[in-house]
Amino acid sequence: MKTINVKDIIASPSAISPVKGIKVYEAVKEEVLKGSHLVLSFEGIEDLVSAFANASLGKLYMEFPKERLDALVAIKGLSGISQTKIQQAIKLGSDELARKAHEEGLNEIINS
Amino acid sequence: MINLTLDANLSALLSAVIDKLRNENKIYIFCEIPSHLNVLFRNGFFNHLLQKQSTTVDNRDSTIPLKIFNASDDDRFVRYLKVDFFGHRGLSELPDQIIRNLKTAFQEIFVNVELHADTTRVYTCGQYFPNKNVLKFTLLDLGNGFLKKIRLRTDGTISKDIDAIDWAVKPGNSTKDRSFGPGGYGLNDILNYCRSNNGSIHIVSGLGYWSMSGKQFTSYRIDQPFPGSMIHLIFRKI
Repeated sequence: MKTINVKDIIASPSAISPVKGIKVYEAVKEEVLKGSHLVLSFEGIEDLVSAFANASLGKLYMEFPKERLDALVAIKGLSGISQTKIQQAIKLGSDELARKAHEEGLNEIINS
Repeated sequence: MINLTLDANLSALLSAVIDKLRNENKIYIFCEIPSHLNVLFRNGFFNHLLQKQSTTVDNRDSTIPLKIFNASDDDRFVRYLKVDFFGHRGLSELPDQIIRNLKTAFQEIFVNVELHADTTRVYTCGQYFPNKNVLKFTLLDLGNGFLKKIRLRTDGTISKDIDAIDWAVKPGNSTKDRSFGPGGYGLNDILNYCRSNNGSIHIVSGLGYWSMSGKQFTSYRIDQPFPGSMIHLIFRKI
């Protein structure tokens, strides 16, 4: 199974910029379109913000069915606040209602 | 001739204005520096003014140095936050959880400049006032300002700078287009921190001035437009 290292893709331990998040999105998308199983590793990432999470995984989950991505992509190497950011991005990407709630400032719905 | 007294964190603003004047009007600047403004040596402002590359040392450890970032250089900004901002003695007592939250919020604001402002430079500078236990920090760009993209995003419903700032500080509101996925802004996180910790935030963009101090909100139209966006933060009793 192929492993995509976020740190290698963005050449940095800081997962901040959404422009860099798009690079991760493109790398994962390429494998998903082939139907390949993969590990998306966040090992070595020291900072991660929602702008990056939304541009990488949030965008993927907006485009592909959640079931398909959950089956193909295993996410590893996350902890604490970074894990929360990624989970929020996945929820925003995959759930239209959560996205609407976010836009209306109802964060408790997204975090539930 | 300008005689001025200012908080040293506003060196970020002065530097941006001087750069703009230099770029647009080819002006030359001569200055006589009164001794009470020696802080402007210590924070690196005069090095910038005189276009010197040397590093300054703050022997009083009260400044968070003036830095000018390329808007796409998030790695350098992350290092600045870690070393110069959160490593400063004025913020050394902050609990780890608050540091993490604030750091994230600053990073979100920084990357939003890259996405929204259509500009290349971000100016930052801070000043710690040990006698008052207050730290002031300024971050600005000379880009689009808030209104341009918010007017488009709201189909013209928002048409004033003050209303655009008011819109941008609400949770979830963002002009980020969907090509960068879902989600919004980090500004609201900073706002929440200031609200719960007796801090203040002032925002200037175009003709709009907006501020929150504790639970007090103020906004008004300013006389001359600011050509970009400036966020000014005051942390008290840190």
